[in-house]
Amino acid sequence: MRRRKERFEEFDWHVLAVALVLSLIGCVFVWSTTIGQETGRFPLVARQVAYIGVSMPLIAVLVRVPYPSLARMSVPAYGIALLTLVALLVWGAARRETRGWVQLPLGFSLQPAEFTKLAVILMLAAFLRFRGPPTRWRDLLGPFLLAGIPMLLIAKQPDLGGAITLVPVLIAMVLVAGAPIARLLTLFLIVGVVGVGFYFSPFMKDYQRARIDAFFESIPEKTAEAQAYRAAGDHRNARRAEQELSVIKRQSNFQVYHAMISIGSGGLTGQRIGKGKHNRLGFLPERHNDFIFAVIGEEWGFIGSSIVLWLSYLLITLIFMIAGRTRDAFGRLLCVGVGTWLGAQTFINTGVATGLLPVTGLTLPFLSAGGSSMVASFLGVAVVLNVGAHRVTALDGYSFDRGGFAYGEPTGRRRR
Amino acid sequence: MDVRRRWIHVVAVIGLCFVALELRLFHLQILKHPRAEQKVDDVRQKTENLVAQRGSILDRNGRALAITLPAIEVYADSRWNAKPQTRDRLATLFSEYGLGEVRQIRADLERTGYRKLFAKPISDAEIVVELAQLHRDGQLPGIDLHATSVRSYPENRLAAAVIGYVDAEGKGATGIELALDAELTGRAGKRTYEKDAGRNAMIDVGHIVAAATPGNDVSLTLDVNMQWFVEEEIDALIEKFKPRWVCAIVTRPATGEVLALVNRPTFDPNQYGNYAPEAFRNNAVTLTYAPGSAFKPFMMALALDRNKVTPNTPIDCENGSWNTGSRSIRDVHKEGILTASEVIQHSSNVGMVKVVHRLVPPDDAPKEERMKSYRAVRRWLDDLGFGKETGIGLPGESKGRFTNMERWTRQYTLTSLAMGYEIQTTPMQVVAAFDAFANGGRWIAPRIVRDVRNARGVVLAEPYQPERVVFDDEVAVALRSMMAQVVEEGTAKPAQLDGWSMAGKTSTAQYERDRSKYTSSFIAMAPVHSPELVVSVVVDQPKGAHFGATVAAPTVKGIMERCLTYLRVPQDRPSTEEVDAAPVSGR
Repeated sequence: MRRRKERFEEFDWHVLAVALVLSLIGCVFVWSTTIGQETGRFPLVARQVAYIGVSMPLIAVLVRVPYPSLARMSVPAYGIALLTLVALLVWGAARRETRGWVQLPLGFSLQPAEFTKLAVILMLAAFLRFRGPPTRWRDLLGPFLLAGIPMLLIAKQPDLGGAITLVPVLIAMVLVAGAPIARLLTLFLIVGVVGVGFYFSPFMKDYQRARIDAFFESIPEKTAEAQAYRAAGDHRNARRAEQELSVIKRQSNFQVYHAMISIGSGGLTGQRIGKGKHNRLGFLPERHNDFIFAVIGEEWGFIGSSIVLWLSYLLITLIFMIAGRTRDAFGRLLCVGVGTWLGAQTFINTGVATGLLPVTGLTLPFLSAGGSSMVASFLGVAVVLNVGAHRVTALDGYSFDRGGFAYGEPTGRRRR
Repeated sequence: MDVRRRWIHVVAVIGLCFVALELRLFHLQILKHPRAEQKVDDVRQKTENLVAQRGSILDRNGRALAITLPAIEVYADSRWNAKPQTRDRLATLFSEYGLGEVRQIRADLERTGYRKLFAKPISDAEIVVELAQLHRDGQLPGIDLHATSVRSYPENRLAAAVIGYVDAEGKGATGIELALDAELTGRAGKRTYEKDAGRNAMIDVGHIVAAATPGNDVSLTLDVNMQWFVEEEIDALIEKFKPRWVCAIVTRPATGEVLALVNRPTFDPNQYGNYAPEAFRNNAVTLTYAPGSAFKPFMMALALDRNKVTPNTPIDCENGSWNTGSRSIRDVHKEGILTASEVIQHSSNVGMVKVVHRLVPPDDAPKEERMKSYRAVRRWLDDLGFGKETGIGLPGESKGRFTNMERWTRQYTLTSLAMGYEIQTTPMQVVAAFDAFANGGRWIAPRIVRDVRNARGVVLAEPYQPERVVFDDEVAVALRSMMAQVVEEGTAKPAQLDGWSMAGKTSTAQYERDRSKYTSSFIAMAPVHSPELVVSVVVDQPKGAHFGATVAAPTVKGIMERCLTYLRVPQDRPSTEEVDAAPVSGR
């Protein structure tokens, strides 16, 4: 008991503070999007505050458990995550074309995929920590399988965005574990080719393909095409192009189109909270959720959305700095995993809202409405805080970062 | 690099991604901001036109010739009347209102989507009220009623070519509807409202930017009753002679007002889709023909005006056959020496040519001298309104045509002009010029528009009528008595009126290209001493007969008698017994 207290040395308040600021900003905008439009039993913003409130004791508890013991939880957590995903596929409630939800009493619902990501990070870190650097192809097989199986299950829900978030997490963790960069680049190439193949494969749902199509032949181009036809006097082709344009707008890119208008109309300083004309009139679907960044952009403008963007990056940097301070490989891997996860998800979400990336249904960590995302994000932060708080100078056993000690050693052997 | 510091790579790559996002934000929020702002308003703000009610077209006594009626359009939404029983019920209901056959309506209801159910808007007030009531009571599932309006022509084909019609877009297509479209249309109003993503108007009424101003009413100089007289007389003529086209014009010479204007072929503006293009033509102003003998009075007036002849000047008519240069002039009635007055009475070609030859030097005279006299003739005809539009304000008016002045000769051009050839005129030009005889030498532009009033009845505009004195009253009186003789003793005896004196001139003009085709006409004024009316009937290619006296004169008589009676013009001539068909004399 005494020892543990001694080791509870540096609690990084900065990380928690930034995360809290972000989540409070999120509350403000969740409130803004629901002014005068609330119909449910619990106002959305109240729930949001409740999720933050629930997260705090969770953090307090989790931080006190020395993180090396988390490694022991990694296998059961991973197993439970996989089982949940399979169960979801089999019995999951059909909701918005995706089956990633579990209905809870009182109108609450749970999205296990958010927690699965954390379980995968834990599992990967636990797997990679005692091995030598994954320099050979087959060394990469383990981590790729461990991440790949849940990715497939999540993608099958189908929640392509959730699955894709794990790709940078996996790569970052393998990289930090010492995988040769050249090898990973080669792998990128292969994944790229496979990805293109996947696009043409029957696994791709039509709506997913439509979203990707819509991204590549976006609205401005089609508009220009239609106008060119009009100018050339070719009214038949112009009509066809206009029809295609309207289909694109309606089916796939409608959200992004209006998200971009929302963000653009914010200008430098925005239109005051709760006064975003465009999002308020219902042009922006999922505005309190996946597209909350568009609301921030409209109501807080360039300055406000930049602040939110760089606050998120500050949080990620702080998490990575904890990774840098940690001498222990397991802790460092956990921090890198959580940091990359939050970074990737933030980037993908805002990239979608600004039209840089094709549409994927991903939440913006700490900011979007929704309990699963909020609690999972705070759990991630808790893990990082835990790593920062406990200076575990050395765990026994071989590891990739112990000065080449494990080089040439057969992998997969565990020593305690 | 040390493996322990690889986290820096990762955080740097994430940082680069965020920089890309920041640039994108700058692009969207700073550079593209004005366009996005514009789009926000475009998407939300909808503008709706408030259609202005089109003005009416009325006759001189305020009787409606063209009006706009409120109407409804019926739209069916197949998703809301999907049940067979519902469709059966709706189809039966609509067919009971006479909107179509049950089977057809049933089939139309089955077509998927949101469609107009009937091609034509329903303007029958009773049906509109009842359907609206049923709709309010929820008896018409899946049926929408949209308010609209239709143009209606209560007198059907009466004066159709003058009034014209309004096309499917609500724009005037021909006639007054086209000529005064801007006055009739009014100014559309505008209403803006904000809509949400569901396309619902956010505010029910919206902001009326500009209220619609209803169109102005146009009163015509036409009199519906007289128009009916003329239509009936012309129908009888058509029955008898089956001509290619007919144009009848009744004017009040003192004011230049057109009281009736009938064209054949014609159309019903309520069903304008069913007619061939020539049915829409207003022959009075768009068609030209060689006026023939009807032109002789104008040339005689010129000779009188220039003192080249007096009514009693003897002219040798050479027994109906005379050669001038290489041309041989012939008369139907072979006469010896006639006075100038009798030349008109008998419509002698030889006599008329000789009179006109007194006006210009022979063709071997110096060119300047000839051209000077030609220009005088031409100026005379210009002053009478030939060769240019009358300015009556009807669309598509033709100017008529002369032979190029450079090529005028006495032997050809002037000889032809004396008999009404080498000139193309519209029926309206001839009537306007003929009015000058009734007006004591004053030419006045004809008018068919009485005035334009706004919805409150304030007169906004009246047409401008240029007028000019072309010749002396003496000349007019002389010509009137010459032409009175035409009716009393001459070629137009069959047209003698029962109770009024009349002066007129018959014409049987051959086509200059095809001598077997004729344009027959008769133009007349009555009573002779203070003419109230001028009536002109032009009949193109009549079948069975071709003399103006036979074809057109009886119709003019009928029109004159009915119109003079209608106008209560005092009689100035004892009633005569029925005159037997007099021996006809042509040209």
